[in-house]
Amino acid sequence: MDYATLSLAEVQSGLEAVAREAHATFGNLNVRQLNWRPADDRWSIAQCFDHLLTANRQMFQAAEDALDGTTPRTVLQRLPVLPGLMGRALIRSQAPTTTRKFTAPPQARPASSDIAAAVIQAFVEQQSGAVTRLRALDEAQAARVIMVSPFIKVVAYSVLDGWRLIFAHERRHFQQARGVASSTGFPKAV
Amino acid sequence: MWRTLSIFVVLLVCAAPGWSQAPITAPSPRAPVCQVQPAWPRVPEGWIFGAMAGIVTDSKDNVWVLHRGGSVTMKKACCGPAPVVMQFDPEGRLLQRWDGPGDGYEWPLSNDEHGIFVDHRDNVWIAGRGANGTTENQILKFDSRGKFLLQIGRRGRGTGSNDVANLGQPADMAVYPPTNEVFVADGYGNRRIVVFDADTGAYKRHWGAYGNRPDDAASRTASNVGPGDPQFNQVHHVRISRDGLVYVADRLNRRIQVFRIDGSFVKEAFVRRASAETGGTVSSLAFSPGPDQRFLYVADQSEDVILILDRQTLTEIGSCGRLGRQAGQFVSPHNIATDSKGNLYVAEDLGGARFQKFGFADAGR
Repeated sequence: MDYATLSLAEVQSGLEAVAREAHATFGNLNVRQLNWRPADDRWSIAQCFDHLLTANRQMFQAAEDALDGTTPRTVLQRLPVLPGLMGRALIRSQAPTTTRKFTAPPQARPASSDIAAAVIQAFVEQQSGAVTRLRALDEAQAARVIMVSPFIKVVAYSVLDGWRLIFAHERRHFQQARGVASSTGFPKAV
Repeated sequence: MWRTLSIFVVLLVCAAPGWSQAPITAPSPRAPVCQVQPAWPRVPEGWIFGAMAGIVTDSKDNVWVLHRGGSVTMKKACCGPAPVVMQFDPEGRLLQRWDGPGDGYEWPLSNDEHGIFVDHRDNVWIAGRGANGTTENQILKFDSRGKFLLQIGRRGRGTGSNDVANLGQPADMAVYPPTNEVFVADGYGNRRIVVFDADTGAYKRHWGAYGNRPDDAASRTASNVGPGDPQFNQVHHVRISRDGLVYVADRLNRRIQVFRIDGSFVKEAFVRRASAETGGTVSSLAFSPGPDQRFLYVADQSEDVILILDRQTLTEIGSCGRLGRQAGQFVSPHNIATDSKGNLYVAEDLGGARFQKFGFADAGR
């Protein structure tokens, strides 16, 4: 799937699908299973979703700021071509098929201590809120308005690309979480 | 040598048009050849399709699909039923979707969604037939974003084929732009075409087979021999050509009847009337593009094929696809539509549970 060409409606159905699958795949895991890590340098399932919750929250806010137009636009947001190029490059870098590893930005690093089992439900509810936001959004407007990345301030892309990025990023970490659950040594349910 | 020459001359003279024993007819146009586009549409993540009830294109060649979400019986973690109304762009990208029921109107009961039409103002019309009973006697009109505009007829009401306020399990509808009238294929319960003002919903006129007054007491047993049934027997689809002719799919009678806008009868043609398959042959109709709309496409749901007719003569001159589950084949092709480029879209009922796009090498443009 080319996440960089998705329509807003396709992103919406994608977010719904991720939520449904997250609930079905991880919703019944206990705290021990959710916080189990295959290695010291790898995340647990709970950390994957905690990271998504934090990153999404900041992305939603950045998109809202750009759409409401109250903050003055930066030079980056006024450039005609660059945001499009940046958006596509970022989306493709975050797609689940990309094998290259990235370090999470400090603002979106997950908690290192035990995370409550409610993290999955919190993610599902956040997805529901995201879908509501998307329903109210016009695709032409989303393609026109440029937002600034909440993580790298010198990077800007359209709000539409921002939503595509959110979806690609979720899919990437969903796959990662699924990999954790199928790793050797993953605790059995008690 | 003279003998050989004489025979040649005699043969030549006999073969001349004026001497031929066969009737003189204008050559039928060559049927276009269809080719499926197997990668169309892009199915959004997490969706599974059930019966595709209706399909139509709008003024921008976007494709609208009416889906019976209630027909999806496979319940898996991966997927849920696709929404009831979906709009795709010509490349197959999802543009928007609605979930039907809402306040202020009577959306067809689950699994009863049946027909969809987008008019010249890009308003979206929905019909529900009442598969779960006989209650759905209404059609609905929405704007292109799903805002409710008008309901004609009421659920559970209706007194038959001569009722001027309610419908009787309508199957589909079409709007004729010059008069801004909506023509309803009021045909699962009733046996007529009924016409309303497309803005106000005010009743205008109705008619049955051959332009006669419909008679609900007449036999509903389809006869596929002898003279044509004097009554419609499941009016399943209606489309109006640019030259102002109303084409009616009289499904169980296996025929197309053609009328003028005022309801006066023009002609009829039976389509695969002798088919050994059960059910009707004329499920849905669509015209090829171009000023003369040379071809009339017919979804034959019984034999799982799209037939290509010469619109003037209503004779079958070709076909597209056949029964099967691979790309380009059909199981129960229920509804068809064409766009301005000559592409053909086919929506399959529960057997196929999908919709496909076909291009044509020569679509008569």
